[in-house]
Amino acid sequence: MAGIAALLAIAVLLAWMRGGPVLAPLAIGLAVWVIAGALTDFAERAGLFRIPPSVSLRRARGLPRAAWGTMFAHAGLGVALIGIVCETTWNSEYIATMKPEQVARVAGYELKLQGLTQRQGPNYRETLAQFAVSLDGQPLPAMTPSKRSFATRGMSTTEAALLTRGASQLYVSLGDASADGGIAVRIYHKPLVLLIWWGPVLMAFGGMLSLSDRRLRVGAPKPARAIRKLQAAE
Amino acid sequence: MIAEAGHYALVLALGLALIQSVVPIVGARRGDVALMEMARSTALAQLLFVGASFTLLTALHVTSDFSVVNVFENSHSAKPLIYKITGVWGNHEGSMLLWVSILALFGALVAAFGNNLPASLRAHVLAVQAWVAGAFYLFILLTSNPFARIAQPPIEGRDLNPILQDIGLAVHPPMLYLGYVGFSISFSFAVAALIEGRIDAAWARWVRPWTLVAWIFLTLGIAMGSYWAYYELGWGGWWFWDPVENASLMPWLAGTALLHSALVMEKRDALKVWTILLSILTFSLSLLGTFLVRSGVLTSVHAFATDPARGVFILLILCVFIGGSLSLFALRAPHLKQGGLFAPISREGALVLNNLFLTTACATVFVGTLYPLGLEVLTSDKISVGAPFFNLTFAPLFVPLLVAVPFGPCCPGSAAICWRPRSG
Repeated sequence: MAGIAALLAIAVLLAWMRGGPVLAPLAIGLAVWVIAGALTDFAERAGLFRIPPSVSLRRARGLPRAAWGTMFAHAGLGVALIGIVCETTWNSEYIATMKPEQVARVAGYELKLQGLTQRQGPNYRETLAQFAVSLDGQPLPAMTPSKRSFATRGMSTTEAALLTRGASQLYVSLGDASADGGIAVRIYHKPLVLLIWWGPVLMAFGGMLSLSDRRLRVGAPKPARAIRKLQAAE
Repeated sequence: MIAEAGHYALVLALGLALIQSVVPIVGARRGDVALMEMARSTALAQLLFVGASFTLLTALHVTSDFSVVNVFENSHSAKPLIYKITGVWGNHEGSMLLWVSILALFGALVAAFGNNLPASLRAHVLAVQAWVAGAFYLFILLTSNPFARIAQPPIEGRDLNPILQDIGLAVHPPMLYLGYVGFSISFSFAVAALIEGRIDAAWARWVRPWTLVAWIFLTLGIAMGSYWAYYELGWGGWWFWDPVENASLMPWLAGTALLHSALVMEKRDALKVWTILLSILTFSLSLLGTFLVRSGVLTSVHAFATDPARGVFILLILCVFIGGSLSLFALRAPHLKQGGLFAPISREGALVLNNLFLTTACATVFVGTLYPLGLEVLTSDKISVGAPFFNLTFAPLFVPLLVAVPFGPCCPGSAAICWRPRSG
């Protein structure tokens, strides 16, 4: 418990290092606080650092699943918050009309539009744009965002291309094609954006762990004493 | 023939729901076990018939039977098979059928696995479930029949809205509905407890797993919807604070509060009345979400006014269930025996704080979502309440909540739940 307070210092540290927006490091500090709080609480229960590691490991395994669930669910909250803050604060974008062979630079990545192709889907026509992606001269997998147009409803959809690097994503989506062979593109670099969804997944995972706890199982609740007496007669 | 069979199965399910909504209560009044037990059979049979109805609608979509209006308006023979199937709930009628199917599923689960529930509680719970189910069967049959035919069947369908032809939106609605409708169980338990005038820690023990299941699905459903919006809408945004999203966020906030207050109730036998109220509120918000999304009130209040049949029906359901359950609460809650006390600085105290912030956050979202609607009805002014409002109101409420999160499990007095070596 006491150790967690020190983690708030991380927020101050971050603010000092970046010199950028003040709120973001504070919010990240808050998220770290939530995650570390969940972890230390769990470690505390397992007796980590107080008793030999082998014993506390055994103890951790013996803890009720609900305790594991609480840890994951609470940590998930912090994970999602980190994602939200990083994405909104350090998101960089490039919006322009590009022609083939033009290069866009976003957050250190270079995206070169190689060309546009057409394709027929089961119930739509699709315009695909090929992008060659590289980071510091190192080639990365190509990205092919597309625009589908559905004849029956006369509507179109954008299929964004996503390039996942760790928890961050490069995001390319297409707009309308212009008369001179160019096409409107939106390119975003979203740092740690995937944490936004890993957080809820962690929360749900925690919920499932808690649900699988024997003490909570739907079929086997331990009701009040009076009722337990009744059950003993079975 | 398939369409008529599906329609008929739905009518039968309505009949069963009507029986289930009356007979078990009579049984509980008279202490007649046979009448109370009837609820279990009808709940299972309901699932059978609604399931059949849903399967038949799916079959119509898969075989592209354009003589059925619903298939004609939302399908196309060239559509990939998976979207023919998911197109079933990609439209109003079909998604309401999915809604009641999931409701029947939860009812049947209580009937099948509620062996250790006291007989009268189970009878009441299933009866309340049947009230909700009955109302929605009527809604579907009277205003949104998915099995209606066209006199002269067209050759080709109008296709499903293209943005729905995506795997994310194929999975999102069932997840979300499992969450929304899952909260109907805690609602039914709460109303049953109010009817019986009895509630104890064991009640919370029964309710919590159901709430947890609903909460898990709702969490995943919201996350999935947000990810879909992120990659499919092409703007790179993942949360827009639009009313449809808020409609799913509100039950999530209330449901999270409910999970935590049920914990206090289970461990300390405290916060009983509050837990009951939260159960009612959570499901009410789910109903409100259904109303907002399904009545068309969001697209335009005026469009809603010109074709009001559906909207007014759901509004009626909303008023009856929310008003009814809250009135019951007002009548009965004072008579419920208040339970244990706990120290203000304790795990329980932290959970009360959690509840306070979550419900307040929920209220801000509620105001931000409904205020523009109310204003439009009264003055015809269209305003949009967007991200700036929510960032300014919602975020500050979540900060203290997050600060408090680690304190919950760590506080003294938590020995009852967490096995701790020395403290406690």
